[in-house]
Amino acid sequence: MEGEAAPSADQAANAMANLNVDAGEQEQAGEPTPPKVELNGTSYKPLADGDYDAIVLSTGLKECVLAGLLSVRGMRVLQIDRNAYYGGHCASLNLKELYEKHNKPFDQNAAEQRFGRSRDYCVDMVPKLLMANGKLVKMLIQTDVTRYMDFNGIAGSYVFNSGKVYKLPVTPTEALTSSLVSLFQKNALRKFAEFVRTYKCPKRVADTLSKEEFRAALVQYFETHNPTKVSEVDALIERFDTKRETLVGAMEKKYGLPVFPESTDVEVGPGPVGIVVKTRTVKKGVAPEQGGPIKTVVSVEAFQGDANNQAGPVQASNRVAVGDILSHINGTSMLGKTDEDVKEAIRSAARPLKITFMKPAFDPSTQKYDLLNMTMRELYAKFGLDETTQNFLGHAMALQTDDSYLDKPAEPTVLACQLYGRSVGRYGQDSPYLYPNYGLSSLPEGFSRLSAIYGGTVMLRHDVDEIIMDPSTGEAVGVRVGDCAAKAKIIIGDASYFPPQMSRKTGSVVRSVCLLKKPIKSTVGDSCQVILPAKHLLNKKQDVYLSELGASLHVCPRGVNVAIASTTVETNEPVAELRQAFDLMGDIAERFDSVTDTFAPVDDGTKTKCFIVSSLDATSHFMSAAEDIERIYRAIFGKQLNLDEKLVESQQ
Amino acid sequence: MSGKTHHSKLVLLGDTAVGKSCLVVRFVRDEFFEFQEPTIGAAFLTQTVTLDDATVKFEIWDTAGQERYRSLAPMYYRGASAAVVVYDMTNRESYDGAKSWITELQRRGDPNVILALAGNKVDNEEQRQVPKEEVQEYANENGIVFFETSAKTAQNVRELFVEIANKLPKTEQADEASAFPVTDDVSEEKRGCC
Repeated sequence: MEGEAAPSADQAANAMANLNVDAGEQEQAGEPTPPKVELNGTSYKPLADGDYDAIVLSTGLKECVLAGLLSVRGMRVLQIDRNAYYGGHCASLNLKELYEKHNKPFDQNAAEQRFGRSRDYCVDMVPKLLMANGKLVKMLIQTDVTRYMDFNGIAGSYVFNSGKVYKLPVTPTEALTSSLVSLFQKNALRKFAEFVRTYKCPKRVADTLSKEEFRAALVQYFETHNPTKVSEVDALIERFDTKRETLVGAMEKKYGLPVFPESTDVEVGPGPVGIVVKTRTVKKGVAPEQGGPIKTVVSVEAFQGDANNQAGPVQASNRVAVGDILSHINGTSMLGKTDEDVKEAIRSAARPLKITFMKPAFDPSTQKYDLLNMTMRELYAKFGLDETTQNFLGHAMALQTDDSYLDKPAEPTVLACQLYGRSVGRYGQDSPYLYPNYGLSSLPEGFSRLSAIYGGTVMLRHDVDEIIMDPSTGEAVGVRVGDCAAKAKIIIGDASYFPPQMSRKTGSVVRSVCLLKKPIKSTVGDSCQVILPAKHLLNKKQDVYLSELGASLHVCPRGVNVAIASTTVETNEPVAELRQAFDLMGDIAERFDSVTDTFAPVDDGTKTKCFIVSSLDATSHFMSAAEDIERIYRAIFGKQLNLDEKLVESQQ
Repeated sequence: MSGKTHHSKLVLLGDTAVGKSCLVVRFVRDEFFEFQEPTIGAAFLTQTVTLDDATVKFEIWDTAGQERYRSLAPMYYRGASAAVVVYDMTNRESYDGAKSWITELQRRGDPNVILALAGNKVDNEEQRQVPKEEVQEYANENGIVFFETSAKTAQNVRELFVEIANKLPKTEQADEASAFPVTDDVSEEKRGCC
C-alpha cells in the first residue's frame, strides 16, 4: 500500500488482502500490529490498527456514505466520532434528548403525558427527504444498504402560493386540472410537461472519465480538427474543470463533430444499401491555416426502399437514423470527404462491406432544443410559461433555492423536473419522496455498517486532538487522539474536526422543530413537504422549507406530528423568517428553535489530502448532499461515481 | 408441520474473537474454518429452522466488527426478536463482556427480545476458565437460554437455534406491511412529469 498518496482503483485488490477487522487481537490477525506509529519523527501508540488508507471524521450522513463507498472499493477505513451516537449534526433524537439539546427543562412525566413515550421519538436535527429516483437512493440501492432498513413514502408534496398551499401538479393531466395553474397557462404547461417527460438527455460521458482519459480524448479531437490547439489542452481542462460538458459542447459547436462519438457498424451484403447521402458542411468559414482538415461529412439524408419497397439493410438494422454520419467504410475514414467520394467507396468496395455510422453531435430530430446552449429563462419563454408557473416549476419541482438558475443552462433544471416526475409514485407513494423508518439517522448507520462489513472500523466517543500534517509536503498524514495516532493517506470529515483555516463559514440555517397535535391543514396523510418560494414570502430571498412527519414513519407516537421548518438565515431575527411556515402549521404544541452555522471547505482537498464535507443546507431534500458526496468522491478518485452499476457484489 | 413461516431478526453480540461468526457459519453452512476471516461482505445470513408446528426463518446479523469499540448502531438492535450473546469459555474476560452485552441489550433492545448465551469453544475443555454451573445459574435467574457450544465440532449449535425458535412468539408481525422494498427493478420511463 505504499507509493502514491492518493488511493487508486488498483489498490483495491491489494487492500482486500490486508483487510483486518480484528487486527488488535494479534492471535487472529496473522500479522502483528506495529507497536508504534511513526509520524513526522514522533512515535505514538497505535490508534486502532494504526495504519489506514482513509480516516473519516464524524459519522454524519455524507461521511458515512463516503466511508462505505471507500470500503467497498477495498480501502482500509477508520471512522472516528466524538459523540456516543451516530449521525453527527444529522442525528435523530428521542424526546428527552430533543429537550436537552435545545436547553429546555425536561419533565419526563409532564412531557410524556402530553406527547407520549420519549423513546418513541426519532426527531431529525436536520430534516431531509429522499427523492425516490434521486442519487442518494441510487447509492443506497447500488450498495445494498436498502437491505438494512425500511422505507416509506411521504404522503404529499405541496407548494405555497399567495398564502395558500397547493398540491404540485405532476402529470400533463394534473397540469390541466390543478387550481394552481391559470386557465391561460394550462395548455403551455401541458406541452412543457410532455417535453420534460420525453426529453432524452444525450449521454454525458465527460464527467465519468478520469482527468487522464478526458485529456486523451481532447488531444485526439484537436489533433484531428485543429492541431494548433493541442498545446492549450491542459489550460482548457483546468479552466473547465467543473464544467467539462460546457467545454465539450463548445468544441462540438465549433468543429461540428462529437467529441465522444457513439458509433454503430452495419454490415451490407450484395444489393443496394438503401440510403440517400448528402455532403454536409460541419465547419464554415475557417481558413485552412486556422482550422483542421475536416470541413465536410457525409450523412444519411433519407432511406430508400428497393423496387418492392422493402427497407434496405441499413434501415432494417434499426440502429441508424436520418442525420447520422457515415464515418468509416470498411474501417477507412470518410470524414472530410464528399458524397461523391463516399458513393464511390461504397461502389468499389467488396461485399459484404462494413459501414460505420456516427451519431451527430447535435441531433435535431431527437432534441428539439439544445439545452446546454440556452438558459432556462429562454426555454420558459419558448413554452410561454408565466412567472407563477415558472416559480413552482423551478422552486418546488426542480428544487432550485433561488432564481439564479434562470440564467444558467436549461438542461440541469429540465432534468431535475424529469427526476421529480419519475420519482412520484416510483414505489407507489403519492409524492416523489421517501423516508427511512425510525429517522434519518438510519442512513448514516446503514452506510457505516456497509463500511464495517467491508472491513472498516468505527470508533465512537473519541475526539480527535490533531490532524497531523507533514510540514514538508503540506499533506495530512494521520490523526492523533490523546497519545495514540493512526496514519492515513487521506482524511475526510466534517469541518469541525479540522483547523479553522481549512474551511469558511457560508452562512447560517435556522431550523425549528415543532410538535403538532394535528396534521398540517389542507394536506393529506400524516407526512408532507411544503416548499415556500421566497417570491411569496415577506422580505425573503431564499425559500423556506417545511417537512412534516408522522407515526407511520416511526418517528413519533400516534396523535403527534413532527413538523420542521428551515431556511437560510438572512436577518437578525432568524426565527421570524419562518413565520409563514408557522402559520401553516396551526397550533404548535411545542417548538424547538436552533440556528446553526454552515461551513464549506476552502479548496477541494487534493493538495492537503484533507477532504472536508460541506455542512448540510436548509433544503429539505438530499440533492445538494448527494452532489457534495460526488464532488468529494471525484476529488479523491479523479473520476465520477458511477451510480448506474452495482457497487457491491450482489447477494441473494 | 404447519406451513406458516415466521421471520425473525437475530443479532449476535459478544467480545471480539469469541467465535460469533464461526457459530453462524456452522449453523448456516455447516462449515468451520480454524482461522475464520472476520465477516466481510455479508449483510446478513439466513437459515430456516423447521419446528413441529411452524417454520422460523432467521435473518442473522453479525456485528461486522462494530463491537470492537462498542460502536454498534441502534439499527443493529432495532426489530431484533432474538439475540445470541457469545463468550469464549476458555476466556473469563469474555464472559464478563457477555454480561455487559446483556445489560446493553436490555437497555437498547426490545424488552421482549429472546436472549440466549452461548459458551463457545467447549471442544477445548482442558483450557476452561468459566464453570458451566456458574453461567447456568446466571441464565436461570435471568430467564436466558444457555448452551455450551462448539462451532468446531458443531456440538449444540443447531440445538441452540432450535431452542430460540421454540421460544419465539408465533404471532403475526405488525407494521411490516407498511414498509416497502426499495429496489431498482421498476421501469423508469413510464412515469409522467411536469
